[in-house]
Amino acid sequence: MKDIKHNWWKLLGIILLVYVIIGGLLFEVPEMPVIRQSIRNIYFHVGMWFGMLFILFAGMVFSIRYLLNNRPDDDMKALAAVKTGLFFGVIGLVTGMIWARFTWGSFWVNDPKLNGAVLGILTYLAYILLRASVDEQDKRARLAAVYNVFAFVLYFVFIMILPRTATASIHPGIDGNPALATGDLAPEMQKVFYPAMAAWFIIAWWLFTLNFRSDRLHRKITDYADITKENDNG
Amino acid sequence: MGETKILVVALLLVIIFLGIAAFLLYLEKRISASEKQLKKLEKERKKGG
Amino acid sequence: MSSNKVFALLRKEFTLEWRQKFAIGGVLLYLVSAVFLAYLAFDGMIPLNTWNALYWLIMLFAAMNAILKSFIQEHDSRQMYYYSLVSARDYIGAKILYNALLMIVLGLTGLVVFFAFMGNPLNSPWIFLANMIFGMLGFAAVLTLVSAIASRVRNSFTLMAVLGFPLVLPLLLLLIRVSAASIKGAGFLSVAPDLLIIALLVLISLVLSMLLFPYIWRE
Repeated sequence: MKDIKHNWWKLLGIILLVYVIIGGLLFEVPEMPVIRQSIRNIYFHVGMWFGMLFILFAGMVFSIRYLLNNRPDDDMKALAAVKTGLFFGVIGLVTGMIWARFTWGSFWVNDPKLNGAVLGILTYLAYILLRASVDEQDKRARLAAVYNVFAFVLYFVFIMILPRTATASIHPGIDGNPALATGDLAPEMQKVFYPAMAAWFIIAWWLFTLNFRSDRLHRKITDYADITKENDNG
Repeated sequence: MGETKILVVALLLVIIFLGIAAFLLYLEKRISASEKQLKKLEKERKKGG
Repeated sequence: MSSNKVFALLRKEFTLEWRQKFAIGGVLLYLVSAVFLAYLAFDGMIPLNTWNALYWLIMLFAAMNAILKSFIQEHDSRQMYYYSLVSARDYIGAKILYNALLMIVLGLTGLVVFFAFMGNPLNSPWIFLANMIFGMLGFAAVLTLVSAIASRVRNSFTLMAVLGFPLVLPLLLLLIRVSAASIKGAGFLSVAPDLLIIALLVLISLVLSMLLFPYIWRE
């Protein structure tokens, strides 16, 4: 059946996430004003956010590799990474908006973190649009790779300077480090938070591999069909 | 009362997630099968061609 | 990177621009029209922070317009010619420098037009100027590379805006902040940290653009 030797980590991800759901909802959390019980969303919302950053970073690496080596697999991996990143970004944004509704009363606030999240989504949607605008495979891969590297670096720098662009924000974690002052995280929350990060990273990577493998299959099949067509005509 | 509510929510979420996981595993199976098939075809092409 | 070649290329850009006066004329006309439109839309009275935002938005669109044109107006065959003559780095370096200078001129012109319609609200003009110069350099660095990409694709202008806007937004936000402070009359020390970050962003954009452009050029 399935090759457990190569795929064990996927099962680990599943188990971890089940643990995170149970522990995240049932374990103790410190009582904090305004946010109270909904602070549990940290295990999901923030986890996905970091998962997204992780996979987008990987995407940049694949784009760099493509520029250096011109291997089509690297280009397909970059695309798969971006698609997975977008998926996490959108879900992260939606969970963030729901969380905002419960904590601050409205779905949206003019907050740099939220604006930053939208910015990220816009950036990578632009990447998809760029790819859709070029028909030749090599040209598309090359232009997309250049944009991907450029975009990720600028986006990452933006995230780093985010605390500076806000004078005051109701978004937690603004003082010090993006998303969370993890050093300050209460011990009973760390019990769930670190496994959550691992779980989301694994899930993100898994979704990425599924994306990539199915894209690669699709391309091999279409290449095949093209070659057979040529042979028939020739 | 609040306790049971959150237990139910947790259980529901776990079930939903396991459903998603099952779907992912199903995708895995199909993709692996297609990859194996493709490999076989490529090998035969190499031998025949 | 040889500065001789860069300056030669720069001269080439200037001569080209001069020969096609209508190109920059178009952007200037856009500037005046846009500012006038804003003036009318706000019934002659624009609140200060709106003034600020409007200035930068109008500048941004002017920048996208002008910089994209610099790639589109050169035919492929001529670009091949340059490719055989100079290194990619020199080429993009010259383009960015030219675009930055162009943008600074446009920025100053826009400022003058704004003053003409709505008076001068700047209480710390030197800070505004320094901010604007950094900003235009930053726009040039980012938008030149994006234009290089977009110019090779159909629907260039749409793509240019879609690709360029998210990349330029962080810089824009910081520029607007410092600019607003300069209207209020802030001192140098209070804007210095922001200016430093802006300088950092500009530097990163420049380095990245020069590193990545050669990969676009291999056609």
